[in-house]
Amino acid sequence: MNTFRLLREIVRKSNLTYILTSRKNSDSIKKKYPWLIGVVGLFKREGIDNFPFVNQSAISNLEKWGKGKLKIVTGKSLNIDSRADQILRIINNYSNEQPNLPFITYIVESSIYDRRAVLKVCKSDPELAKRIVYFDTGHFII
Amino acid sequence: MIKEFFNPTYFDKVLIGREIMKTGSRVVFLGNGFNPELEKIFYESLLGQSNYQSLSPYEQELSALRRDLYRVLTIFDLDGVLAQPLNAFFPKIKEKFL
Repeated sequence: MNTFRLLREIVRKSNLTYILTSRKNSDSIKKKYPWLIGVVGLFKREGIDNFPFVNQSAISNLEKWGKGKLKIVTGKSLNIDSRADQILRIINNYSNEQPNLPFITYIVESSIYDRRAVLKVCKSDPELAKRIVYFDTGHFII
Repeated sequence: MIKEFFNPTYFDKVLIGREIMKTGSRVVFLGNGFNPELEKIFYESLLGQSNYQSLSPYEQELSALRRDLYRVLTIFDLDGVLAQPLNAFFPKIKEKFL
């Protein structure tokens, strides 16, 4: 199954899908730190499939394609605690939207940082742990 | 299996995976680190036609409910799962490993 079809099926079958990426939002960098425009400009391609930057229009286009069921979060930290907090925040916000409806969380990640972040989230709340299913691609190197 | 043994993250995946399972969560390994086999997500979750036995007790409870009576949140990592950062710099590197 190709990546696009997979993403489309997952977005269709989930109530909400978050895509987390460590790519930096080039537009917010240009706005906050104008003196870095030259450095960001060295990377001419800023689409969603290019590393290390992604621009706001690529993010908006993908979110529009998801029809309100897809959200992109850029600038994922390499710090395990920050990643765990980020995942916890996403899950808590989601559960607070409709507290009466039960939910299940599927987390699909790959790296050693992600694995430890998920472990930290699961250890933080045993009630939440049973609502989490972790898929690990265990990708080679990264 | 032999190919997977050469993946430097193999033991980390197994050991941390066990720790996660001890907390009551379910862990599924996709592929061998070279080919992710992402379509397995649909067979191992409520997102598709899953095998009932492979689901956790909490998922089994949910699967008995009507679909609109429970919610599914999916968190996906773009780098390393949907796209490879190395591939952005060296488009040929992925072909070499696969």
